[in-house]
Amino acid sequence: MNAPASSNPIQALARWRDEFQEIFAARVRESQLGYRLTWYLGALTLGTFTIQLITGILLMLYYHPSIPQAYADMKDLQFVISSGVLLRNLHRWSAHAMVFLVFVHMAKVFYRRAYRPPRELNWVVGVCLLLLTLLLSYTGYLLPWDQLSYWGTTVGSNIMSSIPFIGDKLRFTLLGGNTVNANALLRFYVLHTMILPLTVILLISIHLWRLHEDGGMYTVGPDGGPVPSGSGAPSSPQAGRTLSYRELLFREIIGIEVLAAGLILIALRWNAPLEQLADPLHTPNPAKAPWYFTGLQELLHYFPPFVAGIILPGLIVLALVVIPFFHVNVKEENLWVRNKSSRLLTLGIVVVVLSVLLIRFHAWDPLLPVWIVGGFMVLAAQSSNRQDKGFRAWLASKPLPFWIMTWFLMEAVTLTSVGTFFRGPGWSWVWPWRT
Amino acid sequence: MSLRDQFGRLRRIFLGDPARRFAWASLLLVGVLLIAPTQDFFNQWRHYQREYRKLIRTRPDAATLERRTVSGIQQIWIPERGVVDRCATCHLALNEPSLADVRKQPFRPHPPMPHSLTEFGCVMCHHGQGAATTVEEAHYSTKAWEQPILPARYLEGSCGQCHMDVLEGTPQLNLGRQLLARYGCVHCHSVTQPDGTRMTPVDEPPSLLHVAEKTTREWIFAWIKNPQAYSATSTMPNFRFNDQQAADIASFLIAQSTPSENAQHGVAKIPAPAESADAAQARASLYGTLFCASCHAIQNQAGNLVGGDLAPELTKVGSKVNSEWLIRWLNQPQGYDPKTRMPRYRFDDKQIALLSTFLLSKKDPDFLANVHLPPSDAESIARGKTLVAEYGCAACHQINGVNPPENFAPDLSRIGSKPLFQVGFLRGMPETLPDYISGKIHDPRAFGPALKMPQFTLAEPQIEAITTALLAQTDRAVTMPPELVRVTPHPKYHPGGEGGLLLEELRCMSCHTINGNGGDMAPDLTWEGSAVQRDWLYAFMKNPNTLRPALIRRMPKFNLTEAENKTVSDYILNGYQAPGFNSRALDVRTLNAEAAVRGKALYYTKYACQSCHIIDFKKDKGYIGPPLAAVGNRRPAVWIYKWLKNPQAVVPGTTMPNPNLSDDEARDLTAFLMTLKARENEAAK
Repeated sequence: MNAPASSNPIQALARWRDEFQEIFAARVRESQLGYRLTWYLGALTLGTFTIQLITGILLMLYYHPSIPQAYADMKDLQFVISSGVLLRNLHRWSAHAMVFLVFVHMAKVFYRRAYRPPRELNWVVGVCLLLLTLLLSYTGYLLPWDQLSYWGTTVGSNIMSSIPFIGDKLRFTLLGGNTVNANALLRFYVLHTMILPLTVILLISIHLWRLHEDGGMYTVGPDGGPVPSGSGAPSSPQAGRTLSYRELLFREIIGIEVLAAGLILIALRWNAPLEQLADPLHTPNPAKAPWYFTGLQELLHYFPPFVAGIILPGLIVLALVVIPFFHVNVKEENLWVRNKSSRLLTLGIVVVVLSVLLIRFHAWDPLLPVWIVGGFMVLAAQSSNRQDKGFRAWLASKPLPFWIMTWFLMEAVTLTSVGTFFRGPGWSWVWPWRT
Repeated sequence: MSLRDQFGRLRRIFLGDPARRFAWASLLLVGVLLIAPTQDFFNQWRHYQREYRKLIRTRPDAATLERRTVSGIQQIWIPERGVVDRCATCHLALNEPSLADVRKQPFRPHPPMPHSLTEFGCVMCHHGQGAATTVEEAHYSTKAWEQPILPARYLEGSCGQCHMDVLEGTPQLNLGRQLLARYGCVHCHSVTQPDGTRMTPVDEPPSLLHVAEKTTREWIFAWIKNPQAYSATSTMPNFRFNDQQAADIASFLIAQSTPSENAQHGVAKIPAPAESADAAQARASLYGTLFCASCHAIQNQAGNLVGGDLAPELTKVGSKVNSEWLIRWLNQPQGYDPKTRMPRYRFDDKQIALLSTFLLSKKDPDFLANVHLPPSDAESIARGKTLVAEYGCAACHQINGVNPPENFAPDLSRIGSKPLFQVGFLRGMPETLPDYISGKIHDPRAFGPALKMPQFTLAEPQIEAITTALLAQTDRAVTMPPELVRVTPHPKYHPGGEGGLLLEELRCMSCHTINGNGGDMAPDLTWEGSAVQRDWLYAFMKNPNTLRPALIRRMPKFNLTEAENKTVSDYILNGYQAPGFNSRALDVRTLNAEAAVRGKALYYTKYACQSCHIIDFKKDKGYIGPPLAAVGNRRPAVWIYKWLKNPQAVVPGTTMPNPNLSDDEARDLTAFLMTLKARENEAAK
């Protein structure tokens, strides 16, 4: 924007407003306003991050990263500080919401294939933000210094030491010692309150700047190719377009506000878990990691640590990073229109090999998504030749990457729920309603 | 305008454009944000503080109370002990004795206690979560704080975290500790006390090294099956063995038995007992005059136990022991078991004959009537040995070929802080530590059929007392800084020399305490040398006599020789002298006749000592203190003088009031009392 020669405060504010609205583009198609397109997931994630910043800074006023004062500070927050318990609850529930929203945001972007050029690097930034969110959550988990956080962190850091050659060194560096101790608390505190949030803020800035540069929200044109939402000069009025400042920005802020109100109500009703003071001599059974890692812990139950803790997560991250560069899922092509029989054969082989592998390791619960997704793929293949309508036609139209992502998400959900709800002492199977 | 239109109009007004919707969403957010401060304003502790102000407004001393009431969160903070107790935030009247009649919690004042409220805070004794300011979190077990408030009936356990001595105010704790030591709990379980020492057992389970000499395989079998069937007062627990197991153990115990030192001596032939009523009478009266009942109990016709609990009950002893063993035992108990508490009486053959006949007649013909064991074989013995090792019999009893197991049962030093997630509760039992501990003592095997802990025969108050004593064993108790531990040092004392040998042989310390060691049945002898005269002690040792009509005489008569008597008496007189009981305290030359006359006047008129003590048995009626008719024979003048000056200093805990005499008065009274030298037998009339 060209700097005007003279100015007054109103004009200055107006220029700033223009900057904000340009996050999306000055004008957007009316068809892009509805929540169906993005579910406002990016904005909501940003909203939870903002809540985290505000509550986090307030919590820092009361918190000492030392033992056992850290735990005593939790008690003070709960019992003495006005609305201290709300602060802590909100920080905790909003963190969970953020992890959840980041995952869903990623899935939504994937299914909409919004990572296609020129947005491929922004997708990679997003994957980094996902990892940083997990790290933020994991480092924050230790800070209350209760049994839950101590043993959750211990379980998590033990996975790290299964990396060959450098695992133990890496863990030593992260913890500042061989076990979770006062040094680990200090390091996690610095990571959680300084290094990671600043990095996230930087990456979010890049994420949004690129979003703007790439033309705001991703939409598919009539030709199936990407259409930038705000094409043309910001100020030129076009038919079917509306000012993003009033319509879209307000809608997203309203979404954030409603989410915030919801989270506050949740925080008023349900307390963030807090157990007894961390006691290195008394291991709870089972010692569970935070919920977004229980899927990993469930895998660790079946596979050797190096496979479950390093290879599999590493491969997943790698797969996520390379998606845009291998032109995965670029064309929404029905998997079953060509080479149907050979593809069915391949599917059969893959399902059988996966099943044999999982059964070999006595991994029963990851079998379920394999068979469900396999079953639906066969159903889709059956439907592709007929003139089906509705759900079956929709199924039949799905390309291969859709199936892979769906399988991956189902595995993640299955493993995480089993790890969180169905595992008791000695990681044995329990029914959550029978305690 | 239809309702629908009106609704549409309202909708347009309120949600017509994005800005209005934004405004409403913002209002919603602010509204939700306001809930928390509102909740905070109406929270529990503020509610109780308002209630308290309402309560004190009606009291006569309202102004004083109101002035002393402070608002906001109150806390006792003792950083070095890790105490942050906010109980006083709601319990506002803890320090207000004028509200003693208020029954409503949380406004009851604290009952008087030896510590100030700010010395240790609340949680150290009462448990619960001191930092909490809500009823639920402060008092009950939560995920964030397992230890709920300690029920009042176990509260004495908290005193035991620092105090190791027997306190007057903690009868239940004292009893519990005594039971832990007496019922042999600490043979298997190790209990480290606040001063770092291990609790030691005081029961002396009999050695089984020579058990075959004493009894039969059948008796051992019946005993193991149910010790209380033989003697109701037995502290031996029931291991709930089946017949096979009990028989195997009995076989092994008989097989491992070796001959004792006593077995090398011949046994005097006992004449066939005379069957007359007179003879039976003579036997029973010997048992009585020897004061066996001071330690041993026998069930009488009415079914009541008569006698002490220091030694085994003898009601059915005739069904247990073999006669040769009994004769040797009466002759020299220490030859069978060098550690026994039974004295060596130096009975003559006639006494032994009478006593053994009397004891062997104490039979229960039904006790072994139904016991028919198959003959013992090597397999049974081997199985028995395995069982003995498995169930830790050697933790209590000496057994040949089985070493005493170490750390046989779980360490109980920190049982009072056991994390609840480590506790396996029974279905339906309240999930608290006291309930778990008492449940475990009540029926140990209910917690799992494979558990080895036996069933003890304990009454409900005893179980409660043991639970109290165990609840004292908290993390805090173990890590208590030494300056907080209250314990009287207890050096071990063994009398030395020839006299000491006699004291040991006569087992004086089974009943008497000397230098902090020994029993509590009879008077402390630590300063006995300063308390009696030589001639009196000689005569007393020859024929102990009652000192107080109100007391049951319990000192047995030992058949000491002249030389032995002299040795032991001189040893006591010279060795057990108290500091300060010497000629500097009182010059005996001042105790002349005039002084005695003045003393007599003081005795009868000014101080009216005759209201408790007797000098003339025909006239005086005082039965509270001991008679003083022969006190001039018994007590040295210095002792009487010091006693009169300050009875508590001489015998702590005595009921004798301090008469607050002047030095002259005390001397005169002493002079008078020293003239009282009636002969013992005369006085006794």
